[in-house]
Amino acid sequence: MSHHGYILRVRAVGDTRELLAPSVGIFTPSVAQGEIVSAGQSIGAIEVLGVRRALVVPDGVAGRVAQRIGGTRTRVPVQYGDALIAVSTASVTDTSTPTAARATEAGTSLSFVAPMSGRFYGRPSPSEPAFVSVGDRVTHGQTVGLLEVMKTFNRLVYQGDELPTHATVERILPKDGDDVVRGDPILLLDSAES
Amino acid sequence: MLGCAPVKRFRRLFIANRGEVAARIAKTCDILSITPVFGVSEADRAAPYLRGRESVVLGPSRSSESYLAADRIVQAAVQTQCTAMHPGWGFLAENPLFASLCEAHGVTFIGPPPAVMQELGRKTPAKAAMAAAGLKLIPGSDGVLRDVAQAGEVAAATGFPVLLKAESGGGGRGMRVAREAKSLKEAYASAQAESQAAFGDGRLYLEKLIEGGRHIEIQLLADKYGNVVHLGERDCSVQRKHQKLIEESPALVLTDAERAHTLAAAVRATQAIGYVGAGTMEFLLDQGGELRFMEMNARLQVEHPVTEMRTGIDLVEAQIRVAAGERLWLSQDDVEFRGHAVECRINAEDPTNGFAPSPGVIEKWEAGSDDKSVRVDTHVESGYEVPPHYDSLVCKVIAWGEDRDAACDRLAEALRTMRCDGISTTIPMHLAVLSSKEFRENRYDTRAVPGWES
Repeated sequence: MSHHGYILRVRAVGDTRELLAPSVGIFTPSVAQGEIVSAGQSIGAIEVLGVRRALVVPDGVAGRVAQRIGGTRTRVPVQYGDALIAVSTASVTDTSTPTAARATEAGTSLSFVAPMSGRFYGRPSPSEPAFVSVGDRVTHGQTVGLLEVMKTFNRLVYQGDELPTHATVERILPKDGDDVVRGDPILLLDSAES
Repeated sequence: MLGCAPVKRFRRLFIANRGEVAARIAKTCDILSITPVFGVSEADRAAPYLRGRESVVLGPSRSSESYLAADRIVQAAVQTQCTAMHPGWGFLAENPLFASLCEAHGVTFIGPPPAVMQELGRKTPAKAAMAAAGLKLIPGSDGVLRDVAQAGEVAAATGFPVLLKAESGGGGRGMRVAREAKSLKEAYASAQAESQAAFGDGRLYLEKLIEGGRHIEIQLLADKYGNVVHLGERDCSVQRKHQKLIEESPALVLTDAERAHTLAAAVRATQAIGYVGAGTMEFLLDQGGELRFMEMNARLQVEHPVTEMRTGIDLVEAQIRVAAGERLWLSQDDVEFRGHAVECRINAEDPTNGFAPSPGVIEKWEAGSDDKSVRVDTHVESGYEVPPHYDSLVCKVIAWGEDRDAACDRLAEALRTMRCDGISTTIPMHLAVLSSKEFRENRYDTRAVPGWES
């Protein structure tokens, strides 16, 4: 059966735009947390007694999906007015920030430091797993966190001449939401090849 | 009352309604250890009767996208694991498509089978079935009218004035009075146009207009196995524009012979049409003292507490048990009728200003009476906002007494102690009616509210 989609209603909460369920039903999302969505795009469908209708992002909304109802579930029972996704309108830069690293006094240990001051996030959204955990092996080009600077989320990418191509995470210093200043160590690393 | 034997089939029951009836259904669910889940609109999501309850927001305040959205309601019932659906009254309560949709999705509809409901919704087949069971009808056309010429022939035979009514009608719409032959053509055209617009069916039938009658109805209860009992009659003649204001039981205007004859015929007719659940047959008591069948309502009535107060039977419990497949636990001889019960519907309307709607915030609410013989059914409390989107029923006050006077006195006393500040209500009108000579002496009819000039 072919049905017109719903243009979703929006509720503004600070810089976040919540897209609201137009009906009771089963929400089947087609976008994941962290993805960028924009006007006219479908974020999934709502199913009422087996009839599916597309859910369309309205004009004027664009940003990163900061939160999705039901976490990673693929069929989520919702009621009218539930926030299906929260879109963070703080823009996301696609280019990574210049990274920096320096050897610590401990000698054998390396640290990955904040390239600028901002607020650190270790995961794409509160309900998602962290980019990296202690014991993980990181490789040049890998995203290890987000830094929110002036309402802009910057990906922290592990790279740089002073850092080895591969390293193991020994410690993550800031917690989610902690403010860091430029040069603060974020990851303590062990460069030893295992 | 049946006591608290558990209902075998239902653990979770969906309430597809709002306000007073939603709260009423939940009360019986509590007694039966069934979890009620309320389907609500955006406007009602914070209503006090939902506090501590499970609810699902169906859609916006507009009824067409919430309380009348059959697909959303059934979806909500399925996704909240409900296996029974109580439609209350109004909204989708008498919609056979909704009942079928529930059954198709594994949710037991609490009401008669959809086919029976469909038959009752169309007026002329229902009348034929009732006549076959021995009920008297209002003289008129035999089925739907072909055209205005046939209407003229039938009207000439029954005599004017006549009433043209919609085959698929209800709620007083699609009805026109013709007082003489020359006004018939215009009445026919306008009734047809209104019926077509309101019900998608322009077919009409014709009845002799009975003026100055009384509105009497009979409460029936049937199980799925052909067992039927009546729970007595109610007199609902205090009306304004076809809206009932006061209901009572028994109807003292009936002769014993007429009452007994009609009750027995109503039970036979209920059996004959295969009715299941609680239902009400409405009659007009004509000036000759005869009850003439008008229609059968396939649902719980607003005024059901009048019957509950007299018989001690919880009608919502009975509906749920019957829907669960239980047999009627009582025979006609087991039904006891005690004393007299009277109910006033308190609406958020200003009776001194043409009954203008009066939505708004109830600043101070006190149900008042703690008299055991007085029952107050309501969903409101202090601070509740009567929304402008729905009907105006705020509460019902029902009083029981050894006789009619005792019940009326108790009711008036309860209304005097009730507080509902912040909005206008019909309480002053009810007090005037209850103390009026016409009402107390039972000399009035449906044309005017006794004791109240409006």
